[in-house]
This record gives sequence, C-alpha cells and structure tokens, in this order.
Amino acid sequence: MPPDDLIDVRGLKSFYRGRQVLFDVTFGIPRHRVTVIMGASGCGKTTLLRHLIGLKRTGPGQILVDGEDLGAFSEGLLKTYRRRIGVLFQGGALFNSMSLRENIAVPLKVHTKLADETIRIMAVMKLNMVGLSDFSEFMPSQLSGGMRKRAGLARALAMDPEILFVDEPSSGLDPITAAGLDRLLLDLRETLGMTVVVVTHELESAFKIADRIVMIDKGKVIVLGDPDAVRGCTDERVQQFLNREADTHQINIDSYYESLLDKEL
Amino acid sequence: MIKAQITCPSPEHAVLELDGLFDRNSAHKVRRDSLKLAQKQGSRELEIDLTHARCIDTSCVAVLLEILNTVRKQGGRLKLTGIDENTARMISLSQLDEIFEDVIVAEKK
Ligand SMILES: Nc1ncnc2c1ncn2[C@@H]1O[C@H](COP(=O)(O)OP(=O)(O)OP(=O)(O)O)[C@@H](O)[C@H]1O
Ligand SMILES: [Mg+2]
Repeated sequence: MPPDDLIDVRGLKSFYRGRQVLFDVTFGIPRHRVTVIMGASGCGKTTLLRHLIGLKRTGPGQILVDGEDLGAFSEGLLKTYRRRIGVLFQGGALFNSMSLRENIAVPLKVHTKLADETIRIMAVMKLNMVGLSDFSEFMPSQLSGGMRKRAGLARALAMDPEILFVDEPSSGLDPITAAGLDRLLLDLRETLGMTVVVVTHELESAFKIADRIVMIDKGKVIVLGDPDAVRGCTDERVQQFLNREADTHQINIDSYYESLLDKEL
Repeated sequence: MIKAQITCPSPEHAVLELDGLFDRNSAHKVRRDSLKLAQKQGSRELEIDLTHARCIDTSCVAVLLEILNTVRKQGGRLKLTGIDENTARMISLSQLDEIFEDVIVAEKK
C-alpha cells in the first residue's frame, strides 16, 4: 500500500506582485517519510516552502493538510498547524541576544508547561543531535555559518514537530557534517515518525535520504517519484540536472539589451 | 493525559505505574509525581513502570533523566520497566543509552 499523504498540493500557482513563479504545482507529501524538493536556484523551492508552512497564502490552487484546505484555515487553525511543524529557514534565523540553549528553549517555554530543568535538558539534547552540545552557552555571533545553520535545525526540532521543513540544511557544511545531518533526518523519521520535507541542491544527499523526490524547473514540477523513478526519468531537463550539466542558458536577447540600455537613462 | 499510581511491594521498593500518553503535555505531571516519590524513597529503590505508557516525544527522555539524576544524588536505585522499543530508540537518538544502561530492565517482574 502506498503511504498516505499528509499534505496534498494541488494545482498551486504562486505570484510575486503579479509575476508568476509557480505553475500548477501538484504533488503529495507522504506521512512519516522524507520528501526532497530539488531544482536549480530560483526555480521556486523556497516559495513553495513558504506556502507549505502557511506563510504565503495560496492564490489559485490548494494545499490540503490532512484533507483540510490550508488556505481556508482561520488564525486559530493556522496557529495549531504551526505548532505541529518545525521550520529551518534558508537563512537560519536565531535570536542574536540569546545563547544557543536559550534560543532552543524559546518555543518550549512559550508552548508547554514543562519545568525549566526539563526544558534545559531537552535543549541540550537537541543541540547534541546536531553536534553542538559543547556550544550551548555560546551566542550565535560566536559561531560559524554552518554551526548557526545546525543550531537553527536544533531549534526547528525543539518541539519534536510532526512535520519538519528544512531549506538547504547542508549548504555551507563540510561533507562529513552534511552526512551527519542526513543521518539525523533519517533517524528522526525512524524514531519519531517525523514527516520531513527537505529542500536541497545536493544530489548525493537527496538520493540517500529521499523516499520521494519532487524536481522543479522554472516553477513547474518536471518529475515526481521515488529516487529510482527520478534516476530513470528520460526528461532532458531532469537528466541535465542529475548530470550537473551547465545550463545552456537561453537568454532573451531583446530584454537583455533593454536592461543594459536602461542603465543609461 | 496520563495516570500515575504508586504501589509499595516492599518497604525497600516503590513503584510508580504510568498509564497513558507521556508527552510534552503530561511530562510536567510525571515529573512532579516521580520527583516527589524519589525524594521520599531516598536511598531505596524506585521503579517506574512504563508498560502502559506511550512516550511520543523527547520530553519523556528528559524527565526520565531528571528522575535518574535525583535518585542517584540520594544514593538510591532507579529501575525502568516496560520500556517499549520506540522509547529505547529515542534514548538512543539522544545518545543516552550508556547512562540508562543499568537502569532499563527489559522485563517487568
Ligand atoms: N520576496 C520576493 N519578492 C519577489 N520575488 C521573489 C521573492 N522571493 C522569491 N522571489 C522570486 O521567486 C522566484 C523563486 O524564488 P525562490 O526563492 O523560491 O527560489 P529557490 O528555488 O528557493 O532558489 P535558491 O535555490 O536560490 O534558494 C525567483 O524568481 C525570485 O526572484
Ligand atoms: Mg531557496
């Protein structure tokens, strides 16, 4: 039996001030599995993620969470939904005035009645999961970019979310640390039954952790399936991405010239 | 919700039996009840029976660790019985297997 989908994206279109960046995006996110969203820079991955976490309202098209339309959620329902999810943004985003441990404790302090000592232990446990337990009293400014990224992941995990969204978790990490994060995402799926959604450029990592891959090109889904199905896909754009071929970059010569000339005015 | 029931099979041995969902919503209650009992037991044995409890997030591991710390500080002995595979894996994920090694008793007596 195929795994049931916790989230169902149907015909999603997305716009920034009238400029369309997602076109009829349709795919499902299976429960208790790892879904990887792949595609070139600027293809719309982060935008899609923003829709999935309810930060950007859906225009045409729908996102169904457990069969309910996310776009029609009241403030209350949206709050409940946000409590079920953990998010690691592409930029990391930590509170600069707090130590790592305090950063991770914030959601637990706000949303639970847990004792301070329990929260302290949970925060250090999460930091340990991302290999940062020795840095719990450090401030974000005292860390490297990759460490901040991992700390952001620890914070996304603070509440043991049912659904974890991570945008480029391994960008800026060395291969060994990156492999450690891959392992962690799989462990979370196994141990806590987490539903994990990962945006990544890293092919090797994607194929190692994904149960389902969604590949996007210029705002459109070009292939959807398990890693084998994606590898076997004959679509030229898919193969180009998999073989890391440089884009032959079809430019629109008129608009290019226009933008060069514009500068003079 | 979770129910906690205390029994004392012998003067040396107290059992806290948990029944229900042991998660971040109930962890503070388990913590309060078990730390109170641990204080009372002092250097005697405290058993926590998890046969009918379901641990679904890491708050339960954190609370179990707190209980263990309290019991050890008083020179007592903690025993965890009826731990299911998932909880054991959660302890593993938190890299606390070694700390809990002597504490987890596979079978309930
Ligand atoms: N806040 C915004 N306002 C206007 N346009 C935006 C905004 N954010 C993204 N876009 C546009 O939407 C498109 C998709 O961007 P998005 O950030 O989703 O790409 P991405 O796939 O995440 O890229 P990357 O891999 O570089 O992070 C781009 O053309 C971008 O210019
Ligand atoms: Mg992005």
